[in-house]
Amino acid sequence: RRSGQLGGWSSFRLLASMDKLLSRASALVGLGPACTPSITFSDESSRKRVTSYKDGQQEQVLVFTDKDPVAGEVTLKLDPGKRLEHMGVKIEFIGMIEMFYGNYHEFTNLVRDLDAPGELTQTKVYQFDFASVDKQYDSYNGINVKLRYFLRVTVARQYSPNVVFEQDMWVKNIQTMPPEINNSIKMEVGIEDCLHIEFEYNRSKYHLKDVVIGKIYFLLVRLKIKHMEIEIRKRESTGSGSDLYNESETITKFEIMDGAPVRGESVPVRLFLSGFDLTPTYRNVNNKFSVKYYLNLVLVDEEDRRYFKQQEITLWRKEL
Amino acid sequence: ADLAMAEQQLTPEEQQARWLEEGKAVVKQQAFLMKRALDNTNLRDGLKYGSNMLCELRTGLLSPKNFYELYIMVADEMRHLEQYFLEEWKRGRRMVELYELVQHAGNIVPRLFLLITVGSVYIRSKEAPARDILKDLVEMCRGVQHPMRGLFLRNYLLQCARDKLPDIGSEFGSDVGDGIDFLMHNFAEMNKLWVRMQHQGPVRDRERRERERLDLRILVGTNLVRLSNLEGIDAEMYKTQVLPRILEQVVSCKDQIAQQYLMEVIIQVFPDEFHLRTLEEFLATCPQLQSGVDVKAILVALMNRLAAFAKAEPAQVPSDVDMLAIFHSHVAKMTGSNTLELAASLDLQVALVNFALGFAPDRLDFVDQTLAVCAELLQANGESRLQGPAKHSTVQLLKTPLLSNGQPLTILALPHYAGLMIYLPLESRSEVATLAVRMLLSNKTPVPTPEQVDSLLNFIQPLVKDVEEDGPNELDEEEMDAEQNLIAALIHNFRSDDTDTQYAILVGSRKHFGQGGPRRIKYTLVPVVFRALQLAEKIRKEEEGERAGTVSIKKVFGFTLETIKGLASAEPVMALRLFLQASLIANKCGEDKIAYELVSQAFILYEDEVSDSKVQMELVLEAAGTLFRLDRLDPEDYDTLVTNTTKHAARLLKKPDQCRAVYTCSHLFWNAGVKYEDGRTFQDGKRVLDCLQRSLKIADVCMQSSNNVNLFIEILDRYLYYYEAGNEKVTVKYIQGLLDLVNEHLSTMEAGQELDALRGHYQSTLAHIRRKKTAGDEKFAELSV
Repeated sequence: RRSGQLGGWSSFRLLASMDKLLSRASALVGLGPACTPSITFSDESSRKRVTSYKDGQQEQVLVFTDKDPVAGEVTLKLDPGKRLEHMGVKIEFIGMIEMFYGNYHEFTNLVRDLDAPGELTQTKVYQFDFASVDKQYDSYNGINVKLRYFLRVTVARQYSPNVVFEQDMWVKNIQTMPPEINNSIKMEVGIEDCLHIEFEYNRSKYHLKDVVIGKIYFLLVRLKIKHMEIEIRKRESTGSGSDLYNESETITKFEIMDGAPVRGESVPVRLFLSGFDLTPTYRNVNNKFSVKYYLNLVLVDEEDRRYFKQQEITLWRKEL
Repeated sequence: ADLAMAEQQLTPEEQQARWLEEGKAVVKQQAFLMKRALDNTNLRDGLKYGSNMLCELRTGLLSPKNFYELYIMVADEMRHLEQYFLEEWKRGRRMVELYELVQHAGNIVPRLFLLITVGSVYIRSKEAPARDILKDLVEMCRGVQHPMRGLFLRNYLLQCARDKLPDIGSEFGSDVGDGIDFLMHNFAEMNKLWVRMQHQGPVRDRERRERERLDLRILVGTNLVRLSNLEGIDAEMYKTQVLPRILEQVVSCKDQIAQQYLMEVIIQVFPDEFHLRTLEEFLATCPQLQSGVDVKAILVALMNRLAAFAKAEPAQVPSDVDMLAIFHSHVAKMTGSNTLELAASLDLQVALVNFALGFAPDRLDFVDQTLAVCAELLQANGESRLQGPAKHSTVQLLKTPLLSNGQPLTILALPHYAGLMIYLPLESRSEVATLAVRMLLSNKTPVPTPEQVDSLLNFIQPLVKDVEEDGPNELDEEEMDAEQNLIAALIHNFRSDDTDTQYAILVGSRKHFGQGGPRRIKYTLVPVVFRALQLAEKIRKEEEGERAGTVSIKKVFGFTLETIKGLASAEPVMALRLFLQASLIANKCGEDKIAYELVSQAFILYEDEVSDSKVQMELVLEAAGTLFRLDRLDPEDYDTLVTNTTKHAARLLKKPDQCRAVYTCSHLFWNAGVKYEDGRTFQDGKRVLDCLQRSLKIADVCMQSSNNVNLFIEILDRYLYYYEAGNEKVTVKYIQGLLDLVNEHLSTMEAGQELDALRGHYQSTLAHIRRKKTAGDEKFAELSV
C-alpha cells in the first residue's frame, strides 16, 4: 500500500507544478527565460532555517511563526539588452494543503500587485509586505498530506507563458501558555488472571523537548515476560468519510525493562522526547487532516507474544 | 551437515566456552573502536561503540561465572569511557547534558551502564548533590529485572559509587544517612533479584541454580560490606537505622540460601561492638528464619566471634548486658526444640562454652552447666561410642575449655567434664588426653595431690593403659614412643612438697602405670623410680631436722624395689641398671642393708635374664663401678658382692672381655672407702695380685689366637698403679717382666696403624716411669726402660 501512495504522490506533483514546468520547457527550447525572479526576505539573516525536502531536493527554508510579517524584495533579473513586455507583476502569499490523491486546497491566498502592465528594460526590484498575514497552521510534511506556505511571483504575459517563481517558507507556531489542563495518565490494564499492570505517565500533554516520566507497576504477573518497551507512534489521518486514510508510523522503540518482574515490582520510565522527529499534535487541520501521537506500552513474553496498551498524548511546541 | 552435527555434539561446557569467546571477541573489537573514537574526541562514535560493547551484556546464554568474566572485561573498558567523560567535564562540558544524552540509548542494559558511568563523573563534578544522583541511579536500575544482569548492573553501580558515598568527612556530602539509604536500597533490590533466581526456570535445574546463586552471593554481600565501611555509622545508628532494615529484608525475602548467607555476612562484616549492642535484635530474628536455615551455624559464628573479641578486648565488653544469659536462653530454646541433630546441638553447646570462657573466664560453673546439658544429650542419644560429626563435636566440647582456660586441672575438676570421655572412641579420647597432657607440660603445672593424679590418669587412660573394650592397641613404635615420652615427662609434674603426699602420689600413679603393659612401662616406671629415689633423698635430708612426715625411707625403698621388679621381666637390663642406681642412693642415705639387697637383686637378674655377652660385659663393668662406691656396706657383705662380681667377670664369654673385667675388678679389692669396725680398710693386696695375675694369664691365652698386645700394656698400667699405691704384693719384678714382654711383642709386630697406636699408649706409660725415675723415686730405680 505504501508504494501505491508514493505513486500517487508523484503524479500529483506533476499537475501542481505545471506552470513551472512550462517556464522551464520554454528555457529548454532555446527561448531563454524572459527574466529570473528571486525573493529575499527583509529579516533573512536573523531567521532560523530548517531543512525541507521539495521534489526530492533538500533545501534550506526560513522559519516563520504565526504573526511574523512576511516582507522583503522581489527581484526580476533581466539579462542586459533584453526587454520584457508584461501584463502585470504580482506576488501571492499562499497556504495550501496538498493531498496525495491530487487534491489541493488553498486555505490562504493574499495577493499584492507589484507592477502595472508595462515593459521591463532592466532588472527591477519590488518591495512587498504581507504585514499581518495569518499563518495559523504549521507547515507539515506527512505521508499522505503536506501543508505548505509559499510566496508565488507571477509575471503575466499576453502571448507567452507567465513567468512563475515560488519560494517556500516553514511555519512553526509556538504555544506560549502551557496547557491549562494537563493531567497525568494513569490506568490499570491487564488480562484476567494473567497480567495486571498499572501505568502512570506524569502528563497527558508534552512539549516537544519534554521528558515523559512514568512508572509501571506490576500487580499480577503470570507471564514470562522478556522485556518491555515504550513506542512513540504517530497517526496521520487524512480525508473524511469513505475517503478517510490513516497512516501509522512508529517513531521510536525505547526499551524500559529487561527481564521478568514479579508482583509488586515497579519500573521507572524516563523518555526524553528531544531528538525524535516529532511535530505537535494536529487536530482536524482545516478539516483536512489530523496528526496524533500515542505512547504504546508493549510487553513481550518469552514466546514473543506482544501485549500492549496505547495511550494518546498531546504534543505541543513550546519554543522553536 | 557435518558442521551441524558437530554443533549439536558440543557439551554444555564447550557451548558455554564458545559463547564466552564470541562475546569477548565482540567486546574487544568494539572497545578498540570506542577507544579510537575517543582518542579522536569523537564522543558520538565513542558512545555508539561503547553501547555496542555493552550490548554483549544483554546475553542470557552465559552461566554466572562466564558472565562475570565478560562483565569484568567490559567494566574494565568502561574506565576509558569514564576517563573520557571526566576530560569532557574538564573541557567545560556540563555533566547534566551528558547525563541526558546517554539516556537516549534505546536498549536498557547499555543505557544504564552508560548512565552509571556518567553519573560517576557527574558526582565528581559536584554539579549536583551526590545523594540525588545516587538516588536516581539506584532507582533507574529497577528497569533491569533480569536477576543476573540486574545483579551485575547494580554491582557496577556499587563499584562506581564506592568512593563517592556521602559519609562523615566525605567531600560528597557529610550525611551518612544518605549513604545508608543508597546502600540499603541497592541491597534490597539486589537481594530480591538474587532470591528470584531461585524461582525462575524449570524445577529439574534447581541444583544448578542453587550452585549459580552461591556463585553470585558475594555481589549481594558487597552492599553490606560497603555499609560496614561507612565511617559515620556508630553503634547507636547501627542499632536504630541499619540493622533493623537489613534484618527486615532478610526476614521478608523468605529464602533459605539468602537468609543463611546474609546472617553470616552481618556477623562477619560489622564490628563486634555493634553486635554486642544488638544481640537481642539479632537473635530475635533467628526464629523467624526459614526452617531450612542453619541457625545453629549462625549462633555458633556469632558466639565464637564475640568470644574472641572478649578475649582480645576485655575492657570493651559492656557490663550491663548479661551475654551469658541471653545466649544461654537462645541455645536452650533451640536445643529444646528437638529439631536439631545431635551434632548440631553439641556444636551449639561448644560455641556456648567457648563464648562463656571468652566472656566470663571465671564462670566455670556455667561451663559445667553446659557440659551437664551435653551429658544429658549424649545419654539420651544412647550410642556408647560416637561416630561422625557428633564425635567431632564432642571432641571439640572437651578441647575447647582446655584450650581456652589453659588449666587442665581446673577443667578436669569440673564435675561433668571427664565423664563425657566415655562417649568417645579410643582415638578421640587419646586426642583429648594428649592435649591435656601437652597443656600441663607447657604450663609446667604441678599435679600436687594423689586425688588429682588419680583423676588425671583416669582421664588420660588411653595413654596410660589399654582397656579391653577398646580392642588391641595399634600404635606403632614411633607413635608409642612419642606418646609415652609425654607421659614420662608428665610424671615429673606429679609433685608435692609434702613427702607423705608425694609418696601417696607415687604409689597411686604406679598403680595406674603398672597396668600399662610391657610397651608402656619401660617409659613410665623409670621416672616413677627416679621420683621415688628423689623422695628418699629428700626424706633423709628432712630427717636431719624436724620431720613432719611419717613415711620412712625403708618404705620408699621398698616401693622402689617393687617398682623395679615390676619392670624386671619386661626390661631386665633396664631394671638391673635401676637396681644399681637405687643402691647408690640407698648407700648415700646410709641404708647399707637395702643397698646390699638392691645389688643382690641386680645379680639375680644378671644371672637369670642377661645372656647377651656384650651386655654382660657392660653390666659387669657398671656393677663394679657401682660397688666401688658403696662405701657404707658391711665389709662382709661387700666381700660377698665383690667376689660375686669377680666371678662373673671371669666367666664372660670373650677372653679379652674377661681379661679387662678381671683387672677392673682388682680395684674392688683395694677399696679404701670400705672399712671394718676396727678401722681397717678393705685393701687386700694378695687378692688384687690374684686378679692381675689371672688377667695376665687370660691375656696370654688371647695372644695365641690374635694379637692383643694392648691387653699387656693395660695390665702393665694396673701393676704400676698398685705398685705406686703401695700394694706390697705387687713387686718390681712383675713390672720388669711385663715391660720385657711388651717390648718383645712390639718388636715382632708388623708396622702399621695398629702398631703406632700401641706404641703411643706404651710410650706414655714409659714416659710416666721415666718421670718417676728422674724425680728420684727410689721404687723405680731398679726398673730399666
